[in-house]
Amino acid sequence: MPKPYELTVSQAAQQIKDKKLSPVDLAQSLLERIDATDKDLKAWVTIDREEVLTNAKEREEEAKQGKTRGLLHGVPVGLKDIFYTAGMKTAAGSKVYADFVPDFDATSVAKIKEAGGIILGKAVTTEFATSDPSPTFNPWNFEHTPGGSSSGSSVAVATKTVGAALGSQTGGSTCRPAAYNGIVGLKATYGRISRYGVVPVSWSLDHVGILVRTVEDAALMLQVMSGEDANDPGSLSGPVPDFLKQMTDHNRPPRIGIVSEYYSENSTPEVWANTQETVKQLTAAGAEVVELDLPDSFKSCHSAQRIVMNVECAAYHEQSHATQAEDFGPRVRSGMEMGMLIPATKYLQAQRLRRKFRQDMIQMAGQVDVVLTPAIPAPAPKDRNTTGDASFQVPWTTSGLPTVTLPSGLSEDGLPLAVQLGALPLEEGKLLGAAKWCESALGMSLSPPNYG
Amino acid sequence: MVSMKPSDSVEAIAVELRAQAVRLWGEQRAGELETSINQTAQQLWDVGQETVDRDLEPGFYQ
Repeated sequence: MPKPYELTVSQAAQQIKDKKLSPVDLAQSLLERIDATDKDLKAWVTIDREEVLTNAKEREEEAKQGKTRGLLHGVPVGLKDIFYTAGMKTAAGSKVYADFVPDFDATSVAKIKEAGGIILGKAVTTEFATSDPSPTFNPWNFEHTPGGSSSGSSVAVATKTVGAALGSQTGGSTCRPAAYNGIVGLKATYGRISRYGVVPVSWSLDHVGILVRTVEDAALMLQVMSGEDANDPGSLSGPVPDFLKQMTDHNRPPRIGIVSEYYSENSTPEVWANTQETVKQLTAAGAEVVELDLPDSFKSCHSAQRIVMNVECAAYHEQSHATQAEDFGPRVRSGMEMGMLIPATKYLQAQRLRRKFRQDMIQMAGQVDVVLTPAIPAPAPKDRNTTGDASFQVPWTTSGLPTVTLPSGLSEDGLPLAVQLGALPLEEGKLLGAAKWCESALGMSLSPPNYG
Repeated sequence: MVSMKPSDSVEAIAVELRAQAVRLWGEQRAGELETSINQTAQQLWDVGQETVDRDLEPGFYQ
């Protein structure tokens, strides 16, 4: 019988619905788990225990009366500390926002609450979700980076102090730490989940990210948070599909496109061997595998992403930079200063290239159900002064196409390896179905040895 | 104002960026930004080498 903190989000929600699990017991179990681990891991920055337990008691009373608010009734969720929470500090890992207390919830946070979810607390982020490292430790090996920028969210989920946590992704900030920590990461189509009330890095690149331990939980969280939001100009219109049903419908051997070009050259031999072994296992289980060619526009997508990110970051922080530049970390500061130097014509050229790249990626991804690549060029680097390499995520973020990261094994040093699956825009249902099938076929569920 | 032509080399772009950084933040800060300036010059050169259809508008929100 698993302890409450060990349950996935879907398991916990079902047990609460079936009156087999008390929301208070679940919340207590997670809080105790945080007490036992977080002095070492430093994944959490703000937790209001009283508020968590008050909400858990309310959800428990409702559940006893047979009333459930939604898919997350009574289940705690963690938030990267860039998500606005009414009345709770949102410091974005920065001195500049050290005392900022929003007076409203981010749309995604409001949707979690509407679905009966409980905000467990705020997880550590790198400063303004960029690349100055956070104090969080990698539970697989303290000498290695946990990745970033959603470092606290990823480590919290990997070490079972929460079943699901929100992250964000402007380059690789959800799927890269998911890979480094051996968990599942989902970055949906650009605009699928509202960005309103999330401290931005770059408006046109930012995505809300989902960090969980199973594909089913990713689908559940996506279901809860998706939808049009008039407060987000990039929000997608139209009805929200039934992702859980679509995931089940598409849970079958997919047609997988493999991209060797670029990814084989830029992966370590160990990572590439793991990817090939993963493909072999999936083929043996029934997947059809074809080789795909990257579009010509791929070669400038990383530079275009960096230019757009730096310019938009500079625009957002311009006033703070003018008065308190010294309060910014060295990397976020230099990034925004580069943004201030870039001519408008070059920014617009980068945005035009992005549009062309997106069109080309759609053409490539449309040949298959999902595209598979390694998620990371190498396991988490042995360097706590970096957040690692986001280059394998950047093409998916730049083009706004949805991706899922799945654990695919361990390195010789005992660090997680992972693959990422990408799909056409708006086809998260098919992507999640394929990911669920791959998850079952690989039978890979990782847990850090000292935090299992 | 930074002035760049598509035919500029990475080094020429870096010179322009460095000069602008000195104007904005002084010699010392511009020196501290040397690595970032060189990376940005490469990125600007990369996108400057690409040609896009005259009618292709920027995407912004994808």
